[in-house]
Amino acid sequence: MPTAMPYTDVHRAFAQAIAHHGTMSAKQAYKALLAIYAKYHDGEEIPSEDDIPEVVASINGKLYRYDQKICFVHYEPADTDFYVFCNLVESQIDRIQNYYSESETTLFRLVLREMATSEEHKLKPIMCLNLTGEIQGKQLSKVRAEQLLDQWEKMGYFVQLGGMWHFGPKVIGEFDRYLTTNYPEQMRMCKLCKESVFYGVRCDKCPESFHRDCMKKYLRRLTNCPGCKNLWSTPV
Amino acid sequence: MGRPKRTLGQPSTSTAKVRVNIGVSAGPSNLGSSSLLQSTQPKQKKGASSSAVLTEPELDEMVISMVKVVLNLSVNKHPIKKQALVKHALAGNGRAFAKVIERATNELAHVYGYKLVETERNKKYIVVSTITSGSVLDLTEKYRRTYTLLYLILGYIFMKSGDIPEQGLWDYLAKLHITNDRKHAYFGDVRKLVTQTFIKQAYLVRTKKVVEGMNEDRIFIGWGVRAEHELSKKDILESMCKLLGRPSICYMAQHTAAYGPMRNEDDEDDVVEPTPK
Repeated sequence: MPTAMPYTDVHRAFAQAIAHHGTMSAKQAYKALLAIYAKYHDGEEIPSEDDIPEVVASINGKLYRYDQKICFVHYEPADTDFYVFCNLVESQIDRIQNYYSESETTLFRLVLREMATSEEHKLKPIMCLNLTGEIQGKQLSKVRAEQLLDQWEKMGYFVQLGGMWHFGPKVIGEFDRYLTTNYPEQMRMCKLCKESVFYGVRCDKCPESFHRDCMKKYLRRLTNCPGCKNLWSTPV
Repeated sequence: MGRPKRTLGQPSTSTAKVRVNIGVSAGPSNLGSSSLLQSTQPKQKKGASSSAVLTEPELDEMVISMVKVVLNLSVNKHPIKKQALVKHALAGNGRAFAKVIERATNELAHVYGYKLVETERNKKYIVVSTITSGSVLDLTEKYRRTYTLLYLILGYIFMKSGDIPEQGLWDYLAKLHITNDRKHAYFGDVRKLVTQTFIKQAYLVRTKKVVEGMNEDRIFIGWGVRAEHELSKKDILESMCKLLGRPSICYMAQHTAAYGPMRNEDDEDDVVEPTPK
């Protein structure tokens, strides 16, 4: 398209859909966009998957003002792309909400803590539930904790892989800075792209982690670990 | 009674297009910011005095805060109190409210497709979506189920032309094999939804009425203010009529409520007489 898209109900409906879900896979988002175009777009064009970034960019142009953004997250553990509705700033005003109780938000923080400090950033389900024991003040039942974890999984905060809970695309989109600030020892940065790496590939001779995609590109030209310079031997 | 059949739990989605307005959901549950509650940040008092004239940047800041607070407080769909908005978004500066809320209303509509509606005379607000969903894909499974139930209830109340006794509602739902005494396989905790959730969200209202010949007041259930704003009576009428298998004009009172009067009595005078040859 030669000129920028005007901001229409297509954008509004799409923004609402992503915000409602919290997180949508790229495929899910595309299907939703097709129906939204059919309903709200003035004209006969059918969007392709490549049109999504432009729609998202238009929406982000408006959301920027409220410290919100639809982030694109390539989630390596599942090799899937996601669009995540993120709140970027954590100031006084952003803290006002009436949806979760204090105990519930505490549980969320505790799960983040446990996950961040665990060796490979993954937790057994029972570990998450047991964290209810650490909550001061109003207690949370295990049943309620299970419901919350289920909700949070659906929203993309966490993902279950191989029976273990992992950071999901929404945590990667919204909590990167929070985690690297609070758990600097345990959170890794990929030296190749300078971004946080949550689930990457490890060198077997030094503690460095890299994004799988970053390493794939790098290994086309070079064979040494970018960190310790020894021969890279981990499969990518 | 046997286990409720799954198909009966979702009659309207199979026989009628249930266009459920998303309502509000883009006040994303703010786990991000809430997680920093542990910080010992002192409560920041806004520097701007409430008596001085606000500068444009100050006003702009307040509008941004207002939009954020409205979104965050709208997630649970409970009507938002004006005092809460003044307290959180304007740091108590009530004078600025009128100006700020006007701008915030425009921004919510322009950016998100949300309408900020005043209910209860300047005291409470609800956020309503002006965009109906593109498809069921825009909504989560759980949301669709919950609001399908609501749609069935609102449809029934509408066809009954107004408030219905609570027991009548339970009888109607029972006919659809939607029981209220245990967790429904498809809809979940129906009792809680009808007696608490939908009421708090202003989709339904419960009123007590004195009924002739009865000792106690009876409880009636009717459309709440949110239902009035979010749902199109035309859509409800047509959906219910699809279920019932008859055209909507068979239900004159409801048809009029949805479409307006069929013919104005004054129009009788406009009938053209054939000119005599």
